[in-house]
Amino acid sequence: MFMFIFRTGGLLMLLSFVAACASGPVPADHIYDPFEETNRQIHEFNKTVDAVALAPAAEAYGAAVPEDLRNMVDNSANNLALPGQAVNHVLQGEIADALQTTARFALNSTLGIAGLFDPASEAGLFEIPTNFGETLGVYGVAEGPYLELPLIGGSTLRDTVGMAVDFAIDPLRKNIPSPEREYLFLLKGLDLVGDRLAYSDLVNVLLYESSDSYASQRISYLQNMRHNIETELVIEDLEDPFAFDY
Amino acid sequence: MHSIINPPALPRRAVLAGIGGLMLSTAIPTFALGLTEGSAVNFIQKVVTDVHKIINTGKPETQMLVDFEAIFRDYGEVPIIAKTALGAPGRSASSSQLSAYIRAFQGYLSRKYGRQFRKFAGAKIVVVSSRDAGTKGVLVKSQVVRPSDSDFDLEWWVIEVNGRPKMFDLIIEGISLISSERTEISALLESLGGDIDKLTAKLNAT
Repeated sequence: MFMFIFRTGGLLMLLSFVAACASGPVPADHIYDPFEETNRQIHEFNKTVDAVALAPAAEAYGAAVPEDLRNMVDNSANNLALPGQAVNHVLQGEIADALQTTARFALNSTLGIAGLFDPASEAGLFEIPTNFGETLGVYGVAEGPYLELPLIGGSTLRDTVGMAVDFAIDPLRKNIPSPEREYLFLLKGLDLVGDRLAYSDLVNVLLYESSDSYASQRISYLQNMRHNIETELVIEDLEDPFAFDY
Repeated sequence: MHSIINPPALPRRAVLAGIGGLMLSTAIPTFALGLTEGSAVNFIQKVVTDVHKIINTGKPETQMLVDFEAIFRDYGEVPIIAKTALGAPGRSASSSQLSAYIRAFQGYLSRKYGRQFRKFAGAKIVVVSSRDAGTKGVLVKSQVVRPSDSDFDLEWWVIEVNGRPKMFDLIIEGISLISSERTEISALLESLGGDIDKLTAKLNAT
């Protein structure tokens, strides 16, 4: 009970703090990166980790584990993220998305045998990813400076706070006893390796084929995140398409 | 303002009207059609029809790249896209430097994005709505529907050049192709000491 008050109380305090520095939507092109120098160092570190550990692990994983089994890992890791996503959809007032996420979780946890299979997608009930960082954005909290986090990658101050809150309020994690909870971390780690394999083309283009992978990742991250919150481009913010028609 | 278009109502007539409009503007080049939401949507329907042909005929990748470059060249406003990606440094370039750069950019972009096309076999692009952006053109929103994966948003920014609709930007789940390429081209130019001829050579080799 005290834990609950502590948690919700802390959440409210956090919300009022971040709401104090709230602002309106920012143009899709806008970049606020006061820590660029540090961010770039972390980016180089992340690239090294990818090159020496993650990418080789993904290749080995792909070679050693058959696709059906890899899909099961992917399915069950994604399934476990759904309750937290449903909570965020509710907080954002996206009731249809919350219902779809809940239905997806119910279907895949039962018919899909504890999430190993994905019958929900076959029924058109796809995942609609979201997180608490987006919830804060919907409430008008400013995104803050861009941050590149070690081992995680692109983020903003708002999304970093959001990640911590998502971890704290995850309804599933709280209801799972200790030994199983640790297995879940293992599952998530394996899923990360699997995702690196599944998106290898995209990741390789972004990290190793672009002239400035830091800047490429930053603009992609920011624009995609803003799209998930605003969903609509603001016409006044669009640049003049003929500005460079020299 | 949103004009929600009912996809099943569109196909035949809209595409035919689009083709008709295009033939008319080819016949009388100085005739200004005036870009409207309707003409922009017809234009994108035509682009989408051509894209569907490329991704669903199972051609080898080399042929797909050639086809994709043709779409980009015919429907895209390549000179303005290339110059927007280059930005201010292009202002001091000579006209022959610029046209060589634009040609190189066209090939580079077609190869880079054309390679991604094979992943979209079986996908359908459905136009869902449009918005008038005034002098900036028209935004046409579409959804890419994939058989075994979630849909994603694809927005087309259409502008009017010499009285005809042309593609200016493609925005995939919020990520603008122009923004991405501006990031890429400016980094490339910087690494080459600001030399536009070297940039052109590099793009041709990429």
